Amino acid sequence: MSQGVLAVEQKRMTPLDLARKAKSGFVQLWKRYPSAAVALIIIVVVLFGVIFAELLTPFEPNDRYGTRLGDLMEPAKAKYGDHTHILGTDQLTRDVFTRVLHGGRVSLIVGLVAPTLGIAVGAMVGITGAYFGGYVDLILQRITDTLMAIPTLVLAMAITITFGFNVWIVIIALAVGISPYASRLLRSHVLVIRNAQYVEASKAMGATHLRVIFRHLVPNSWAPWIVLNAVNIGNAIVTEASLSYLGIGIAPPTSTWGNLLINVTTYWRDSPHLVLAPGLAITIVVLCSNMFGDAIRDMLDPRLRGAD
Amino acid sequence: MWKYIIRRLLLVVPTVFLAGTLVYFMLRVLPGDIVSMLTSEGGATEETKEKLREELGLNDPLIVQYGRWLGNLLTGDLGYSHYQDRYVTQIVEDKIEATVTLAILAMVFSLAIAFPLGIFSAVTRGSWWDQGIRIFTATSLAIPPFWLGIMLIIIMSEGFNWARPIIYTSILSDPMTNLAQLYLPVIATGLTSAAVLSRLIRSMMLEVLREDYVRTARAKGLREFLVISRHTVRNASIPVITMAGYHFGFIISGVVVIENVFSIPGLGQQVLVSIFARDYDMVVGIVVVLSAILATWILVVDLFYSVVDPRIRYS
Repeated sequence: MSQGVLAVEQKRMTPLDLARKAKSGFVQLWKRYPSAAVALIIIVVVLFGVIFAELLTPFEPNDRYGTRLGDLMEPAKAKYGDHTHILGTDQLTRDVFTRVLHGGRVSLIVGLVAPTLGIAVGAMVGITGAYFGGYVDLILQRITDTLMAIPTLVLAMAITITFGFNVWIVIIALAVGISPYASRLLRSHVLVIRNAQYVEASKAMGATHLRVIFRHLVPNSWAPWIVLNAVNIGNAIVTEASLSYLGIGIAPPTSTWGNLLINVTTYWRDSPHLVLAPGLAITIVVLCSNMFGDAIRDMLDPRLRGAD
Repeated sequence: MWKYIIRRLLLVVPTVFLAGTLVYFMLRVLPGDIVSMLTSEGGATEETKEKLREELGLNDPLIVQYGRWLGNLLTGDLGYSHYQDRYVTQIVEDKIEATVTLAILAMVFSLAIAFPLGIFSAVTRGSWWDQGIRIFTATSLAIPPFWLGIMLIIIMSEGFNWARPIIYTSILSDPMTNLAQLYLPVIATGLTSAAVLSRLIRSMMLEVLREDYVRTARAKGLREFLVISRHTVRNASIPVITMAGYHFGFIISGVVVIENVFSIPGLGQQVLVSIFARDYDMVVGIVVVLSAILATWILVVDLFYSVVDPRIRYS
C-alpha cells in the first residue's frame, strides 16, 4: 500500500480497550479527586436505577394501588400483595419509589441532553463569529446579547408556553437558555487560538473555512467545551425541575422530579417522604454532578474556575 | 470614557426591544387568543367573538399588530390586559416593587454571606473550616431553590407556627414588617447565589494571596489581618463584583420561582397567572420589563467595573 513511509498502521479500538481506558481514567480520578470519583459512582448507580426501573420495582408509576385515596401512605409498612411500597404511596395511592425512578428518567434525560445541545449550538455560533470576525461576529454577538438579556427561566417559560409542555420542548428551551453563555466562552477562547500557527499554516495551504473550523478550531476547543457541559448538568436539572414544579415545564402524566412536588406540602404530616424523596433525589444528583464537573474543570483548565 | 458609556447605553435599548420582539412573535404563534378566554364562560356567538376580535385589532395582519405594539412601547405603553381590564403598565407599577425588593435583598444577602465565607475559606485553606464551608457551598448549590422554599415553609409552619403573611407590606412604608415577611424568600433565593459567589471569592482570594505584593506586605511585618483586608480583598473583589452583576439574571429567575412558592405579589407571580389566563400582552410586557431591568443592571455593573479597574477604561 502506497501510504508513504510515515504511515502507521492503525489499531482498531476494541470494547476491551475502551474498558481499560475507562478503568485507568477512573483510577486517575480517584487518586486526584477522590470525592469526585465517589460522586461519579453515585451518579452511575442512580443512572442504573433509573434505566432499569422496571427491574427494581414491581409497580407502575401511574397505577393506583389502594382502594381509597389516602390509603397505604406510610412508607415500608404499606404492602400490596407480596411487595412493599418502600417509600409508600402518594395521595392518589401511586407508588412513590416507582414514580421517583421514572421521574428520574425524564429529569436526567433533560439534564444531560439540554446542555449538550445548547452548548454545541452556542459553541458553534461563538467559534464561527470569532473566526470570521467583522459583521458576522457583530450580528452573532447581538443575537447572543439579546438572548442573555432575558433571564433564563423567563426565556424557557416563553418557549414552553408557546410550543408545548413536553420533554423535547423543555430540552430545546433549556438549550436556548444555555447557548449564549457557551457562545461567549468559546468565542473568547477562539479569539486566542485563531492566531495560532497551525491555523495560519492551514489557511496558507488553501484550506476552506469549513475545514479550518472543523479540523482545527473545534478540536482545539474541547477543553472549555467539556468543562461547560460538565458544569451545566446540575443547572439544567434544577431549571427543569423548577419549570415543571410551576406547571410550565413537563406536564403530568409524565412525571419528573419537579412535578412530583406539585401540591404535596399538605401531606407533610402523614407522609413526609412525598416532599423529601424527589427533592433529595435532585439534590444528590446535582451535588454529585457538580463535584464531578468541578474535578473535570480543575483537570482540564484551572483558569476556568469561577467562570460559572 | 464617555464614548464607552454612551456606546453601552445605546446598546441597551435595542437589546431590550429585540428581546421583547422575540417573545412577542413567539407568543403570537399560540392558538387560542384572549377573546376565547374572555368569552369562555358566557354563551357568546361566533359573531360576537368576531366583533370583539375586530375591536381589539386582532384581525389585523401580524406585522400591523407588531408595529402598533412597538409604537406603544416607545411611548411607554406596554399594552392592555384584557384579562384584568387594566393597562399593563399600571399592573407592572403595582407589582414591580415586590420583585425588585426581593431581588435586591437576595443579592445583598448572598454577598453578605459569600464574602465572609469565601475569605475565611481562602485564608484557612485546607483546614476543617475550609472543608466545612466548601461542603456547605456545594450542598447549597445543589438544593433546588423552590424545594428549599417549600422545606423552609414546612419547617417554619410545623416547628415555629409560622403563617404565610396575607398582605404584602412595602419596604418603603414599613421596613421591619417587610423584612419579617421576606426573610424566608430571600434566603431561598439568595442561598444558591451565595454559594456561587463564595466559591468565586475563595478562588480569587487564593490567586491574590499568591501575588508578590502580598509577600512584600508580610515581609514588611504588616499584621495578617491588615494584609488580607487592605490588600487582598480589594483586588480579589473586582471580578467578583462583575460576576455578581451578571449573576443578577440568575437571581431574577430565582425570584420568579420563589414568588410563586411564597405567594408574593410580584411580577413573577403575575407572569404565571397571565400565562394560564392566556393574557399574552401581559406576559410580553413583563418579559420586556424584566429584560430591561437586567440589561440596565449589567450596564451599571460594567460601568462600575470600568471605574473600579482603570485597566478596563483604556482598552
